[in-house]
Amino acid sequence: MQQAFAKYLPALLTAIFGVSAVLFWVFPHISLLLYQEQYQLFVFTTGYFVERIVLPGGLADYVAEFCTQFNYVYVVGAMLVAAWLTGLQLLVWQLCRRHGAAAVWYPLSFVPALLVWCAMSDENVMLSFVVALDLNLLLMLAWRRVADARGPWPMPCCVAAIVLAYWLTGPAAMALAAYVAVGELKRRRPMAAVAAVLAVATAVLLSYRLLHYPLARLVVGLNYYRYPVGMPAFMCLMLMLLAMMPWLVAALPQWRGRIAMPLLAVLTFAAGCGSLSVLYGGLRHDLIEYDYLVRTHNWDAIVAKGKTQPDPTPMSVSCVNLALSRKGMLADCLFDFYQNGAEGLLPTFTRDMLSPVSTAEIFYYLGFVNDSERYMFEAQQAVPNFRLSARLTKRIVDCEIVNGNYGVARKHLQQLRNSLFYSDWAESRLAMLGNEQAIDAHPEYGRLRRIRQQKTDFLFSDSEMDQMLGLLFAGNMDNRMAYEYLMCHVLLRRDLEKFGQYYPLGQYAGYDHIPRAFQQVLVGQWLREYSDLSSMPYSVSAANVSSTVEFIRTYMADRRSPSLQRPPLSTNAWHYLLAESDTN
Amino acid sequence: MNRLVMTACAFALALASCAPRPHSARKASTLPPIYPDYVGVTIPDGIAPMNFDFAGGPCDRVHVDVVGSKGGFMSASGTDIDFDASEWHRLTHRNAGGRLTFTLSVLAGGQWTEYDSFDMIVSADAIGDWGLTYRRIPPGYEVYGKMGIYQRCLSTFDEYVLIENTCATGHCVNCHTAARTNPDHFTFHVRGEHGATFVRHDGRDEWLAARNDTLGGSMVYPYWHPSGSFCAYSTNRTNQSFHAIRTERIEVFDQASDVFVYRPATRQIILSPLLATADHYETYPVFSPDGATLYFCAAEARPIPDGYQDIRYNICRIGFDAATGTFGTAVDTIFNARAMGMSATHPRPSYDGRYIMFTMSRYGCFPIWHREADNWLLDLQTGQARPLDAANSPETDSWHNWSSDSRWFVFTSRRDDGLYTRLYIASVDANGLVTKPFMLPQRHPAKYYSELFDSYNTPDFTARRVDFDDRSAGRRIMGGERVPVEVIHSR
Repeated sequence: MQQAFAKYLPALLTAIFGVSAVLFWVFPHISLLLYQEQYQLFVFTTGYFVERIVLPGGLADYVAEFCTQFNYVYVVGAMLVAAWLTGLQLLVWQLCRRHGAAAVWYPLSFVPALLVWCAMSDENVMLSFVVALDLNLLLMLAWRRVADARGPWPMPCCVAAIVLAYWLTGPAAMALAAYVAVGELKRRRPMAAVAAVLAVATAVLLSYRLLHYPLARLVVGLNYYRYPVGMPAFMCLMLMLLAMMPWLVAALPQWRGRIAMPLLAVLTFAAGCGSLSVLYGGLRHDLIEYDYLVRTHNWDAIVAKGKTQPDPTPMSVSCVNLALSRKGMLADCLFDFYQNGAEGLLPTFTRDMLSPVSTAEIFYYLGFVNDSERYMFEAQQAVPNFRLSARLTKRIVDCEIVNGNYGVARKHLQQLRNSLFYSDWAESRLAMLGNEQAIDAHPEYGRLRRIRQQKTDFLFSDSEMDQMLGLLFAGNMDNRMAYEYLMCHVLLRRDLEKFGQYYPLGQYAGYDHIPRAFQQVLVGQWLREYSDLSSMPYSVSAANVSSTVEFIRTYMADRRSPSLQRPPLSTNAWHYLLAESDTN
Repeated sequence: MNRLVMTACAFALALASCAPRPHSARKASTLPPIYPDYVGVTIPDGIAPMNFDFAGGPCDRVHVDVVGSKGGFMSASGTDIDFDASEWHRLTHRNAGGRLTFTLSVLAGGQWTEYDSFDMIVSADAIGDWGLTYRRIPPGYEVYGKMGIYQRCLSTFDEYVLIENTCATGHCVNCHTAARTNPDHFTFHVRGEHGATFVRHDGRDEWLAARNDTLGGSMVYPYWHPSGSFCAYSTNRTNQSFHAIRTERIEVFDQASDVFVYRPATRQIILSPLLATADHYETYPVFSPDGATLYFCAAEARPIPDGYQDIRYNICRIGFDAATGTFGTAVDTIFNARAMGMSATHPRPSYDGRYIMFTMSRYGCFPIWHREADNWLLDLQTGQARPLDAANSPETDSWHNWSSDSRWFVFTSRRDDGLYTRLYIASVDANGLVTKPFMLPQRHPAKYYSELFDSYNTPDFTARRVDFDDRSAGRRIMGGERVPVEVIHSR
């Protein structure tokens, strides 16, 4: 039994590693998978392939983007990411074995894969990097096979392979060159070592002559990292580690003992798990998750997340408010959640690729179609590696169809039609183009055509948001979302005068009750002028009256009363309107 | 050896005979739907092959026979029409001043259909210039992704990078302008953290600071004096906002703008109070071909956003003395678009001094986002202005420039799909007759344009290929070292 355990332990460890990776991406970090998928649009055209392959690292990019498109079907995407990570581990071990590493050190072969996994906690580390590492490890194995061959051809072939590897996989070929150089030095063939280093240097310089990129970018890779700021030091260290690891592991002494490998495995995996739990999560990943939940219309999950959100940002607050609105709860529950001013309804535009996306969705549902398209387009342009985005393109197409710009919609749809997972959607929309009846009858497009501004044109101004929302609602009073955003906007700006002005418009919004937050404001306003609530003309609930009266009483008695900071008083509208203004 | 040649010839003939040619064709009494629409266009001798695609639905094969009115014949077959370049050039050269007649046959479902023949007129006026320069950029708003300035040879399909923002990460390059198509003098503007204005003058390349505090802005919308000794610019405080209704997209407007002239030799900016008034917006300066007049657009300032639809530009002029670098003392309006309830922008004088081409829109200074925008021609001999009906379209037509012989003009149009601007070229003959424009040829136009998500901006002809080291330029941009300029006031 123990022998069998020892025999199959390596395979078991690899299987555990692979399955863990799949589960890791499928369950807690599915949003990161979808995040990667939404910032590319892989299409099966020769033009797309050529566009990739004419740049260094192009094959790695192409393969990585091919795999990343499967993140749309997240289980398959997770399996592919896990396969690349597991492949990395297996290739590292194969290489170590070729150098004579003792079997007991098998768990160390997980270190590079775990490090890459950790590196991928930075959402801008591209799968291209992992693919490039795997491909170069394959080449290292191939070189190991032919290195001892006699005759004049191995070295020229190796030089050519290094140059080709740079072009196809990018600067990860430096690890290959370094590995070959060390190997040649150990064989006392310094000229061959120099040739390997010169080969990769030549490839870089050749690329510099041929392409319109700064030398530094060609050295660090065009698409290992989404931003053109250079490769993080961590990734550089990875290249060095891969080049040196086979030699280092092979140099370790044999470690005998039945528990040696299990102990090493436990230590390695424990360190890996610890690192992953520290590195994954945080504010950035929270925002990515909000974006994912908006994308999947998982409004319940957003609301649940909003209740526990420790560090709200304009984007997260706006997502929560959107979710409340989509669930018809915004005007009731606005102050049940953290609010950070009018920014929490419609955040100011920022020149990045994430936050404008959820804001664009808010504009879209509101009926500000042009602004939704603008934000989506800007987000697409902000993608630092210049990739088109399937998700953003889809929304741009939606806007173009609503606007009746069928020529532009057709252009984007023809592109989407060449993709794997968006082609059916594209076909369905292509069939709809020009068919006004079908578009008007479509639940989403028809609604947007009815609620959007029809005739009265104006220039959108985010500094006069209440006027924009008021005009939108006045254009179609079925648009209750516009009314609620208008009212919440003035409340979040603590502009009670405008609240009073706009409140009567609510009679056209089709409410069966006055929303809870509005009731609380009305009660408080009434009590500012009158002592008797019985003559109040509004239909307010007893619970709202009592909670507001209680809040005002407590507030008047002691503005710093701890009970003001706890529900139910902390969720009363006047807590935001008064208490928070005191602290600001 | 002979046997080898014979075998090769026989093999080639066998291959040719295998290619299906039209037979038993059904006649369709209609013009063929082709993309781009080249039916009846006028082309210059020396233009790249006018390849096209059948746009009437799926087909297995197309075949075209081309016959020249002055002789010559060629044909092409395939899934699209891709002419042999040298054969094409021989045929167009032979038929300069004549016409080419195209007969297109289409194979679909095993049946050939032959369409009515159509002509392309080969102008007797060749384009004397080597090619075009232009910017390609996704039609965005504030954020810019990958973009650059490019040059394209007109007799081939070859496009070359002048500068791409991959050389200067995060920057935007624009408004490449040469002096009367001569790339010895050119300028362009760089926006971004390390913004700059590039000026090439007399073999000297200089990078000026993007913003000048005295001007209160940067140097945009350039135009060279014919001597190459001066370059006029405007400085604009530009903003943009989005329309609410579905038929309009975006409005770009100035909330301040002035005109000035830069003298590269002395690195002096020359201001005139007549071109920097507080109650008017002055913009789009251009010199007359003799250099004695500076044309520009001017509109009365209006409050934004309330009055944005009431901002309408006229074309004005002021004298300019190149010997002293001074302006005249009076501004005249030479075209009163406001009186017509319209706005005239982007004036471009023809280099022979006969015309000014400009863009008319309902209001504003940025007609690119106005669907109703059309190009017009002002005859400086008669003072009459007319729209270029033969060249205009229901979609936006704007940004034009003349060839060095003033017989051709290039402009941008959104007529292809309503958003992405494409380049079109048309001719103006000695009598002012404007011809139907043709879209800039590509080897596989349908594929090329459908996969291109860039718009073309600010096209201009270039007499020869521009020699420019974009990598060095990228380093200079990112380096941030800028040449100081002096601001002086004209009398």
